[in-house]
This record gives sequence, C-alpha cells and structure tokens, in this order.
Amino acid sequence: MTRWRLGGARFLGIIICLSAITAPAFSGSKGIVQDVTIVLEDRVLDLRANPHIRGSSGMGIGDYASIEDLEVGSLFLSADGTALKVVAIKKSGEETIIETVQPDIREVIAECYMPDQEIRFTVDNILPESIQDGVVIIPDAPGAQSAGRLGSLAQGPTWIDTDTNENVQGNSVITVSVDKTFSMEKSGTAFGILTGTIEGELGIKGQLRISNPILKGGLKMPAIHVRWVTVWWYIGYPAVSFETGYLHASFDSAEQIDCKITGTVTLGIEVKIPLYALLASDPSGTFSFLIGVYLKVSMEGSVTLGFEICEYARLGIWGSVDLVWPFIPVDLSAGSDFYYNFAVRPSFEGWEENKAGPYLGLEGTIAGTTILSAEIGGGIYTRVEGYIEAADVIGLDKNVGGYGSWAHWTYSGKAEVGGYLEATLGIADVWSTTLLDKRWPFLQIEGEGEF
Amino acid sequence: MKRSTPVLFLIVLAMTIFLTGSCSLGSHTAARKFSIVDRSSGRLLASYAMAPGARLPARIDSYDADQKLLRTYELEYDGGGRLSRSIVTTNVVSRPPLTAETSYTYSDVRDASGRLIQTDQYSSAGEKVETFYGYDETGQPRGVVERNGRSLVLKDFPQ
Repeated sequence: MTRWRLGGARFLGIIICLSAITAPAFSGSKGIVQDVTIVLEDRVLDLRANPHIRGSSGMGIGDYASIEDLEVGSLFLSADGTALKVVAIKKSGEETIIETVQPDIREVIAECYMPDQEIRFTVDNILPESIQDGVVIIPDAPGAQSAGRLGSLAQGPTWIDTDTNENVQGNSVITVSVDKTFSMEKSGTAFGILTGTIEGELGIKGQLRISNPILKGGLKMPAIHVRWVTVWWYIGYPAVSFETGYLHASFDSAEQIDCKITGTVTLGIEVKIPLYALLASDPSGTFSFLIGVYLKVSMEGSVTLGFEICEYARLGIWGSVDLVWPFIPVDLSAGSDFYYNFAVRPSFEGWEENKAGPYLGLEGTIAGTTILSAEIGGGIYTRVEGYIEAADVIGLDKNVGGYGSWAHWTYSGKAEVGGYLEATLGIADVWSTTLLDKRWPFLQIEGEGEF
Repeated sequence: MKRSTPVLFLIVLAMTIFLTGSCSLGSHTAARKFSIVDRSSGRLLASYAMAPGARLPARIDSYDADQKLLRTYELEYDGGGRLSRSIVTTNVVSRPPLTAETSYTYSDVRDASGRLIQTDQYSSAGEKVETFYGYDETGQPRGVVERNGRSLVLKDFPQ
C-alpha cells in the first residue's frame, strides 16, 4: 500500500487517469460490471487459466507465474479468479497437494473501485451450467405471458404483466418452466439442496417468471495513506491518514410463480431447489455479482397434499455503509419496499407446516471473497392439522385485502394459510440484518364441516 | 588416431551415461499433478496437470461443492510461453457438456530501448485484452495493468 503512495505515485496516477477517462460517474450496462479498478496486493500470483498479471519476483517481466512457485503463505488467483492462500504443501509421489484457505480480502486486494452503476440482469446472464434438470428457460414472449398462469387462481388485481411500478413496467421477463419430482427415503443432506428427512415423493410443476433483476450500487475500498514528513531538525516521521470507503447497493426484483406442489410425504425438510443462476462480472472475472434463483420449500409433518399457488411479489431492498480501513462497516442504513398478491387453493390431509416460494439470492464477490449478500423471496405458508380442501381460490393483496371465494371449504381440524415475504442483507461476513420478515395469515379455521 | 581412440571411447561413454541419466531423469519429470484442496472441508477445488518440464498447466480441472467435475481447461502455449489455445468444457446438469474452443494471438509494443511496454491479446471470440508494463527510473519493472474492456486489474511490484 505504502509503496504505491511513495514510489509508484506516477505509475498509479497514470492508471487512475486511465480509469477516470473510461469510467463515467454513472454508467448503464446490460448485465456486465463496468469500469471496475482492482489493485492486487503484490504478493498475489495470477494462476488464472488465461493469466495476464505477471510477477517480477525472481522472474523476467515476460514470464507467467506457475503453480510451482507456490509456497506456504502464498496468495494466488485460481483458474476461475478465486483468491486462495496456501497453508500447507504436501508431496505424494508425482502429486503435490496444496492445502488452502480463503484469505482475508485485505490480503488480496489493495484497492477496489466500482463507480455507481446499474446492472440489469437479463436472460443473457444466465449461466448455462446452472440450469437444473426439469427447468426450461422460455424466451420472453410478450402477449403470451399469462399462458402459464393457473387460470382460475390469477384473478387478483396486480400481477407481473400489469404492475405499473417503474422497476417492472416495460421490463422484460425471464420465464422458466419447472417440472421436478423428488422421490426419496432419506435423511441428512442430499443433492446439496435438502436437509432433514423425507419419505415419499414430492412434485413441483409450474412456471416461474422473474422481471429482470436490477442491481444499482457502487464500491470504494477504504484506504490507508502513509506519507514521510521530513523537517530540518529531525530525520522525519510517517504521517498516516485514512480514507473512508463506501458500499451502497439497491436490489429490485419482481417474481410471479404459478405452480402445483403434489405428493404424499413424511418429512421434516428444507429444500432449496436451484433453478438457474445469473452472473454479471467484470471482464477479468475478479469482481462479480451472482444471483441464484431457487425455490425454497420447507415442510414438516406427514401429509398428502395438492397445493396450487399463484403468487406475485415485488421486493426492493437497499443498504448503504461507510467502510473504514481495513474493512469495517460503520454508519449502516438499510431498508425495503414490497408489494404482494397471493392466491392459493390448498388440499391437505395429515399434519404439516409448510412454506414454499421463489427466492433470489444475491452474492457480490471480489476474487471469491463475499462483500455483499442478500436473499429476497416469499410465498405461501400453511399450518394444517387434519384435513382441508378448498373448492375455490382465496387470495390476499397488499392494497385491496382479501379476495376470492371463501365459500366452499371442507375441513376437519385446524388450519392457517397465509403469505410471507422475507429479505436479508449482509456485508462482508461481518454484518447482516433481516430487512423484512412478515406473514399475512388470510385463513384461520378450527373445527369440522363445510363452509 | 591412436590417441583419439580412447578419447572417442570416453566421449561415447559420457554420452551413454548422459542419455541414460536423461532417461532416468525423464522418469522424474513425468507429468505432474497439483491438487488444490480446501483445508477446512478437505474438498478438492482444482487439479493442475503439468506436462514434463513445463511450468504452465496443460490441463486444469475444477470441481463444484459436491466434488463433481465442473469445468476442464485444456491449454496450449506458444513458443513464448503464452496461451495460444484453450478448450473449456463445462459440465451441465443432465445435458451434454458445453465446450468453447478459443485461439489467441498477440502483438507486442516495445519502447525505444527495446523494453516490452504493452501486449495485446486477441481471441478468436473477438475479445481483446491489453496488458501494460511500467518501469521505474532505474528500469526495474514497476507494475502490470490488465485492461479488459473498461475494467482494470493492476499490480504493483515490490521495490
């Protein structure tokens, strides 16, 4: 750090000028992180598959670093741009085993600056390898948007096609069809998505539509400046000053799910069913934002269910924080804004507690180190003991309240049905908060009979 | 001629020993493998396969959280040790793997004293990455800057 300030001022000045010329104060983009400037600490070796940053320590400038140069304590960018730190090296015949840990961000990155910008994730940002079995991306086709709705359910006032919110209206929509079946008799963790126990079969079939997520934000790492002050009566002393950094971000998304969950299961599970992921990164791959789109279904109990849901939610979260050296967040502020519309036609037998809905998980990383994380989502929850079947749809809208037919229910036992929204925001593994955790019960019954 | 016979014999003997040594040395410089693991979980993150005598990997395999092979990089280099061709194969759930083959060419810029000050990498995919090299007043390498589109990654060298 100090070396940049003392000996490399001219070189750094050229770079900053270059960056300033190409980096407008606010730039729009389509799913790529623009104008990022990253200064690697000088100990970091570039072992990416397509390396460009060559080292000078013991090498000519034309040479690339080699994995053979690694020693205990070395820091390096791996093939995919993730930073790792070597903690042990063991040899076993012709194989060398290099044990690593994830380093602190300050060991890898001396400076990082991302000017304020807006990133609109589109279908082009979908990582092909992230599309799961049973998930099909359907090209955006205006006019055919409502085709996937569960016809009788989608009768509420505002859906993704008709929302007049500025972050939704006119925005293109990523549509995926989902047809997945889980047949299991397992406990523990399975497929990396399920924790708990499940016996039986669970099927999810329907359509998920997401208005292109929008991320706005900027980042400046805090810095320490050291200047050597000389005076005539003394050899000199170091003058240390600190420059405050910042990280601010807002994340808006709207999603609608129309699906049917069926099965007979005995379970105590939380399932995260990954559907696909969107990635926006700077061209070097060092700075990236990844959005994972998944269904989160948590269930406990023993139940035969036929659960149709049609849910629309618009969620916006924002957070702002100043960063002081080395990477300490201060003056935190955060908030959220939301709209929801739930419609459901449940049929259960048994006892069960259930939450199901689509989520978006956002993760911003520098060299593999998380600097920003968020999860937003929501859906329908139910708590049922006994039997309940709705002949018609019931629904709840944030602005107009309950709607639909509440007339024809057959039930035995007690039940509660409602909608929920959740949002969390975290910064650099040092701070996180729940921005939103709300439930809106719109059916509570107990007893036996028809109504 | 009589004197040259034992000299010739010694030369042949030396060459035989050298070649034998080279062969046995060759067995030591067989393809090497470097496995990168996460210490806390014991999980294999990536493996680098190096051809005999090479400093740069011929193949890199990276693995996902479930230890499944996620991506394979097959890499070739030109005479100057620069990446000349890559084949990146990405495994996709329940679908055929995605393969992207890219070739690379370079142009160098040198200053009046012959020092390398810029390298441009052109890919067959139409991308260009510029790398700039800085020197201090004494001619020592000062830093490297990678400019990719409008983003920069740079590094200061120790002084």
